[in-house]
Amino acid sequence: MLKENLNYCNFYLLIFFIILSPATVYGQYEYKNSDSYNSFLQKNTVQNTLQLDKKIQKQYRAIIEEKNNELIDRLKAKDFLFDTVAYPYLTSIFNHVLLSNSLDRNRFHFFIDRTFDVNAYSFEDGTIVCNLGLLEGMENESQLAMVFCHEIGHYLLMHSNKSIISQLNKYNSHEFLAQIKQIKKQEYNTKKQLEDLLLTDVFDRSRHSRGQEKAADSLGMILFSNTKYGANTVPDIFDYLNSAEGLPNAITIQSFLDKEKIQIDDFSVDVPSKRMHFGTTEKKEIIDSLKTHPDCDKRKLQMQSFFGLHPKPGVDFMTGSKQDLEKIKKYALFEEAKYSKDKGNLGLYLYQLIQIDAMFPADKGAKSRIYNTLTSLYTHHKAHTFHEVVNAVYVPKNDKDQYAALLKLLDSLNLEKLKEITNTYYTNNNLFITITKN
Amino acid sequence: MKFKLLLIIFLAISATQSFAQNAAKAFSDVKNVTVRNVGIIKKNNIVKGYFTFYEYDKADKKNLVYKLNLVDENLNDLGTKEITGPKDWELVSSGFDGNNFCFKFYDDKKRTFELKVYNQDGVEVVSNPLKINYKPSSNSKYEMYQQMTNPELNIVESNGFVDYTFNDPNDAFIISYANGSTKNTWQQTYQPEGKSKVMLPTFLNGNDEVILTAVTRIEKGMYNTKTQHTVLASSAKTGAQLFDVSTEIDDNHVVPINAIFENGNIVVIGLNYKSTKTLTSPPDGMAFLIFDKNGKLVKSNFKTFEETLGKFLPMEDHKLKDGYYLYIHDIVRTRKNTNLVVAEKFKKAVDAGGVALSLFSSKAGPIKLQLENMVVMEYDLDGNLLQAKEIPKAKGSTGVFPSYTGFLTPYLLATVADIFGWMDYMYTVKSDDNGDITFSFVDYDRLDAGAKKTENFGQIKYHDGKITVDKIPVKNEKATFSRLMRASTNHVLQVNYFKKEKKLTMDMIKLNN
Repeated sequence: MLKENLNYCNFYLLIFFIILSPATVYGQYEYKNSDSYNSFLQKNTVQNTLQLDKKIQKQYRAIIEEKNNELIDRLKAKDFLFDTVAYPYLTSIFNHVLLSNSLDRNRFHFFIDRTFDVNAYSFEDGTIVCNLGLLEGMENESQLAMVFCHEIGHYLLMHSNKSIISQLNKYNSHEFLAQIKQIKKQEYNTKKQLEDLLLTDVFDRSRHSRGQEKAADSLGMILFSNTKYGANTVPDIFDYLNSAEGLPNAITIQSFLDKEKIQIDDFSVDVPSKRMHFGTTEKKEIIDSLKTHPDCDKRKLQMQSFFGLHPKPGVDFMTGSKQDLEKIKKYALFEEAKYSKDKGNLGLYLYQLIQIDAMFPADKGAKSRIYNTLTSLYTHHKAHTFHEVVNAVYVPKNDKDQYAALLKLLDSLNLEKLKEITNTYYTNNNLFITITKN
Repeated sequence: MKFKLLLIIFLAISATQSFAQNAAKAFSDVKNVTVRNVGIIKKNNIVKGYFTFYEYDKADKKNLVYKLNLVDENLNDLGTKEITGPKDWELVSSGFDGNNFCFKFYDDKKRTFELKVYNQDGVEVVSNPLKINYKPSSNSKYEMYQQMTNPELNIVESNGFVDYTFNDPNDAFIISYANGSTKNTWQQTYQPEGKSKVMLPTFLNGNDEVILTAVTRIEKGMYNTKTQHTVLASSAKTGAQLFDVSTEIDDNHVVPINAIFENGNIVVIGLNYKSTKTLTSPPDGMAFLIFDKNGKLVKSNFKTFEETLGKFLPMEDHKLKDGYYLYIHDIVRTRKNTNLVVAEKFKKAVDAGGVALSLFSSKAGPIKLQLENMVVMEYDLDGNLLQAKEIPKAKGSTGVFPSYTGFLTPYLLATVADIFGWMDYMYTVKSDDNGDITFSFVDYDRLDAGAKKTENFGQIKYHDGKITVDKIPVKNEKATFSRLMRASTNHVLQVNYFKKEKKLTMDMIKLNN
């Protein structure tokens, strides 16, 4: 039976697990090659610095070293995932892109960021990062491969490095320094003038950045064309990016309360539509000018146009199957939630668990976690440390933002009511609950 | 150097290339600024947010550019407004009426108080400047007035702001009104016949039609301590006086504390005294007065503490047992249509240290007040006491009173102690619908049996007839210093400074009750 199901893709995945994923020995959040990665970053920084004009070398190095340190700190803080499920799967897709384009694997490092944010990003040293949150909207491996191609495109076109060097050259130019000198000479409104100067610079860079995104898309499509993946569904990525909210929204907080028969007097979980504010909202043209990415609709049209002219047939799955991806997506949801817990954000953790429970009611693990989190919140409430584990400073994304609704609910509860809710939840679900300490 | 740091921050952002569009703020406050004012924005007793007001830039020879930044009650950023104003500008108080923000500024050079009303787009919609004819920093009468009156802006129920300014040399006051929605402003000087020694206004309530002010007045005369109390009604549209009615009814002398608009009438809740010396003697009970819209008394009801409190608190010889007095801090109408009173038990005591000290110094006498439990009482609309609860707190004492106050009555000393901020009651906070009402106080006690005595913040919460208490230490153990600021009914804002880390944190601590 097992042999019948072991198709080529699964075999590839198995080989990958065995040969290419020794990181598992070190635990799922520890990077096996941490020391060599650190040396690589340092060496890379030295090499890149030496190629620059002497007058900007020091500043360049300071910026890159700060970034390197932050990356190493985040690795130490277990912000990245090196597990035996998602990591080998995504690395396999990533490596396929590299192999298909004859790119040297030693120049790249691939990480998975444990956050729920829908994004992927790259650094000037060849480190490419995919957030767990990106997986939720991905329909197949082809789409993931395209995202990786885009990020590799940034690296190959040296966008980060060029941007930094260009900015440093600008800030050290006679023209810019003369402008600063002129402002310093003034007696009045100097800060305003300095802000205006920098704002102009930010606009310039945003415009430049949008150009870089287009270029990374273009090169990404060429890189993608060399893979075995098909491009049919690839432009749909932008529909997902356009609508993605990051956090899952499978059940409203009111429905959760109704389901658990929890009644709260004098309280509505609805997020108020009219928020108090002060000051004019930024004009649309300014917001647009500050965008670092072109509109998703435009990017989708460009991609459709490219693959219309250069059709790219191929498979949508190679490393695994549709079912494998769905399993990994489910796993990613749990992992994102665990990351919230590891970061001490129990309010967010509870929200993610409620959503996971609604999405996978057959999975009883979520119920135990919800109960244990409620108990933990009660303990924090009693000790007056609730503010340390629930992020009250959160701006609702819209009127239907259910995370905001949960925060509003938690904020309104007194200790007694929180205890009552915890007990009600236990009574309703005690058959599935295993008590542990959060 | 700072500029270079700023550049590095900007550049560090561009070291990453991301796939999706991230929300990004163009500028954050990276300037080296000196915070000149930090305060609370309230709508009556409801905390709506906090403001910071700081110097940002030099505008010209005479003016500075200031930044006024607002955050809501959860510390979410609401926005920042740049305002150009004189060099010596001071932000005195603030308020929010549900639609607009009002800030009261003082310009020392021009000796002008100004109410500036901004809409939620940060646009100034109306202003009401008032030039005064004295220098506040060197006017002793003004100082006394400031100590005896609430410095906060008063919010009218529907729309608008009311402020009272001391008026010299007439020892009266000026009412200033500003309404951002109707753009209506006015000023009205209150100056009744006869000379006064003291004239103190207290905002009672207001709506679209009328502004109600309680006026306490002591007529001129060196030894005169007889007080007169009236309820002044001013037109909300013009400021014209509608009526000024005395609250002396037969032998009852009522000090109004609160007023409510009900069925076209005005319900005044206050403390009742059987003598005219309302500043120096303890109140005898509660008073509930109903006036019609023309100021005609429709109904009055007086209940002595003796006849109501006896069922709930130990009494002896018509007084609280062991010679205690109750100092009434606040009276609030609940959602259940009852009146909630918060008081503090105290008695006059002799300070042993003070006796020794008084032998060598003429500045301190042996008198102080011993402060004890908080007391919360709930009355129905007819003045019947529904419940009274003592909330235990550690015995404490006020500072030692100057020797010249030693002859004063205990209740007057309590009034003085309250003005000096020596009493343990701190403030009252309500929820929007009056469903939750909290009274906060300071307590110097052990929170647990094995714990050390610390300065604690206590909160008494009233919710639909149920009274609960919670306490937390004022100081964060790790912080160099901590300060607590009022917040919404479930919270208190703890501001901590960590000297070693040069870090200032603001934690919205959730209370258990």
